[in-house]
Amino acid sequence: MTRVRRKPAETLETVAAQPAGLPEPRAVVEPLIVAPGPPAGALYDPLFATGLTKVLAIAGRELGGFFVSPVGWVITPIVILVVSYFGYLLPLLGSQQATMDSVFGLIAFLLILPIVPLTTMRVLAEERRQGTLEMLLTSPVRDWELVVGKWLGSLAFFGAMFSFTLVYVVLFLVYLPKVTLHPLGFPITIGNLDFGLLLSGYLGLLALGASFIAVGVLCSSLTQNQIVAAFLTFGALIVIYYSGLAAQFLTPPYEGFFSYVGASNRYAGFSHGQIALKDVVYFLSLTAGSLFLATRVLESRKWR
Amino acid sequence: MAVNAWERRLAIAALVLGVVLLFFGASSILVEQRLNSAASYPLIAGIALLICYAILDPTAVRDLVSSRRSRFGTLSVVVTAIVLGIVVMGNVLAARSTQSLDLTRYKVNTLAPESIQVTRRLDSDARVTLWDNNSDPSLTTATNLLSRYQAISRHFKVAVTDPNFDPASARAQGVSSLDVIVIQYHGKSQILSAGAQGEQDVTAALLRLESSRTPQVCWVGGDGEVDLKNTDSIQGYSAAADQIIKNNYTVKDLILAAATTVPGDCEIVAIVGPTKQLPDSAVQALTDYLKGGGRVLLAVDPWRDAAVTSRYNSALTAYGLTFSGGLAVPDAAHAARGEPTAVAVIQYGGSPIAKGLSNSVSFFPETTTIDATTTADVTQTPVARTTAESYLITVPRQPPFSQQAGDKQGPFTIMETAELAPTGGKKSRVVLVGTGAFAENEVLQAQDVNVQLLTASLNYLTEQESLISIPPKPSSTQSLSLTQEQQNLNLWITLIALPLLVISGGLAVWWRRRLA
Repeated sequence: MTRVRRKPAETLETVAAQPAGLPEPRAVVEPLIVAPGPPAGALYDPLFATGLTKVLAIAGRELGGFFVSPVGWVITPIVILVVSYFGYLLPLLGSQQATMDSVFGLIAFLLILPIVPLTTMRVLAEERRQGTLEMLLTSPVRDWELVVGKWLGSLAFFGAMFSFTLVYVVLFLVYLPKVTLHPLGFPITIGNLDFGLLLSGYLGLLALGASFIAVGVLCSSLTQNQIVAAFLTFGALIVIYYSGLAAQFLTPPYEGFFSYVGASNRYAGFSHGQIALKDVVYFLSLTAGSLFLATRVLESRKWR
Repeated sequence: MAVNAWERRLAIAALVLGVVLLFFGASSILVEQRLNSAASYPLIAGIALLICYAILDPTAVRDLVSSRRSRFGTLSVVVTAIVLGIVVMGNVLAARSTQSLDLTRYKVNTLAPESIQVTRRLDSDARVTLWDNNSDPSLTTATNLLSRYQAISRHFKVAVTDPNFDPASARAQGVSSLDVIVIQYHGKSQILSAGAQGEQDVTAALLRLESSRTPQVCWVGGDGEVDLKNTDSIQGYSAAADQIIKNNYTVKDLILAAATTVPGDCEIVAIVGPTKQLPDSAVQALTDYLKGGGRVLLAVDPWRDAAVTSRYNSALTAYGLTFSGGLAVPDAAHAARGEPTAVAVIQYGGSPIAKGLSNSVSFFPETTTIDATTTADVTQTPVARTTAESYLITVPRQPPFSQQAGDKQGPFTIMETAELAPTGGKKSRVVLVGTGAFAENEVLQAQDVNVQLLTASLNYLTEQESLISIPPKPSSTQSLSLTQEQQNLNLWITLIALPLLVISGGLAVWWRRRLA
């Protein structure tokens, strides 16, 4: 099978055509251009062939990038303050209920407004603006590996950012009446929390975050301007999340269509502890579809 | 003909959208198994968009054959559109699926076995219309619940309709307000109004539609007994009346004190909270009714005039059951909050009325106890008991109560059933409750378990135990009782310590990079 790749001549041409005075390529580019040869090994070789190792290398660099830039360190404390006060403390002190509903609901909302647009706006747009994208693509990295690596890095940052919510879970476990569970036959006495509901909530957030970040990566691939990318992402996420609201103004079958495509409706099942096949398919489709489109956008440079 | 950049972009958009719409239409046909408007419109639009593509960018179509670069670009767009089309198709198919996994501990998103059993019995289409204009937040809850029934039987057909768009059908179904569910089955229909659209309501409606039998409850009143029409939020019985109707019973008033016989159409005689002495003729009428295979629900309160209680006890002689007349007082751990004389029951007997209640709490405010003596041909089965720490005050005294010498020590039975099946005679059943308050409005609204006790009692009396007994599912959300100190600690940890930790991390990174 012939794989569609740029010709060597095109690569040289592209690199040579770079305008002078561009900013220094970011650190993320360096090891990828050097493309360290894979260490020999029975397990590593097949893994390397799948591209997974390169995806993980890009993801690791992307994640590291978040932690050395001020964006993550500035956004995270603000998010913690907002979620802690409105999502955790107000419901807890108001109704004395041990529930994560408000926390998850607030995070789902925060994902759209500031978090995903702000964290994904730079992933490809900045590379494109700095001119490092072309250099990155001339390295032995396939388009999809770059896109998935960037997405995975952002998703990992998202996971790290919201790991603070586990503190709420720990506090609930401390204060709730104790029950004795027997996982694998060992008795453990912990707070009486519905772990199934909790797991479902976190899976819902993961699904929502993964798909929204994929949309953000797609929007970032469309432009070299980070602000434009952020606004594009914000607009797209608003439409995707709230399109279910349009259903109330429509009649079947259009009402059913909008009701289905609204991400808020698909996320609702997770928040109730129910994982429906259609919700899983929806989020997987949104994620895979967005990443596929982002890959095609990068690839389109070859024929546009 | 030269094509400018915008026309080319528009053409590509038309190509992608056209292919996606074609896939959407094709998948709709696949799901519906017919060509309806949901499938034909996207198909027509898809073909129209492909034609637009050819018109907007004819060179691209021509170059597909001649130019390698153009062919690559067009094929790339087509492949993209096909992949997106497959994704859309997958979603169209998945949108129809009802498979799901309920991760909650008490399976709150899963139907009770009783509901599943009833739904599986559907032998023709049950058409369920949810009349709503999509603006009600409870719509999702209702559609979620109905979709669970839908997943069990293909005969359960659900449609969400806005009455403004189809006023004629709304009128025909007797719909006069929004947020109403109408279930049509076997040529009959049931309307579920807002606030009565839970699982028990839907299943009960199916049962009513399925059954040709509508048992009649003769509710004894007019002589100091509890009135079903009393809507008082605390002592009223209107919620019980709603439950009785909802569970496929009709209610008829009966003035027992003035009766010499119990009408033959009374499948159940319900006497709740009598305050006056029953005349001899009425006692005889009740005894004769039971001898003839009658069914009686009798709830007598404590500390009534001994003559009142003894009259009912005499009618129950054949069953070996008597109301003690004293007041059962629970220990503090088994009393309702703020009501030291309201027994919080956690121990249930083997009666089918108490099926599935092993982990549930029901309330019996100010209850007397029921004494049982073994009698021939009678099967006595306790329903609810107090704990061993409870005690019985036989002689009325002023609260607050504490156990004194002469008080009897528990446990006591406070709800019991008995079935008399004499050889050659007719089988009769009674359900005795130590308090008329067990189904008062305040109790029923606070405790679903008491609702079950009431409805299951009626089902037991009419020998419909297998019909419906859906135990209420506990909430997945737990209550907390935090002290001021704990609240402050929560505030400190989440509002101050956590953000500070992250800020310190950021500062450390900044300092390290500065030094480097």
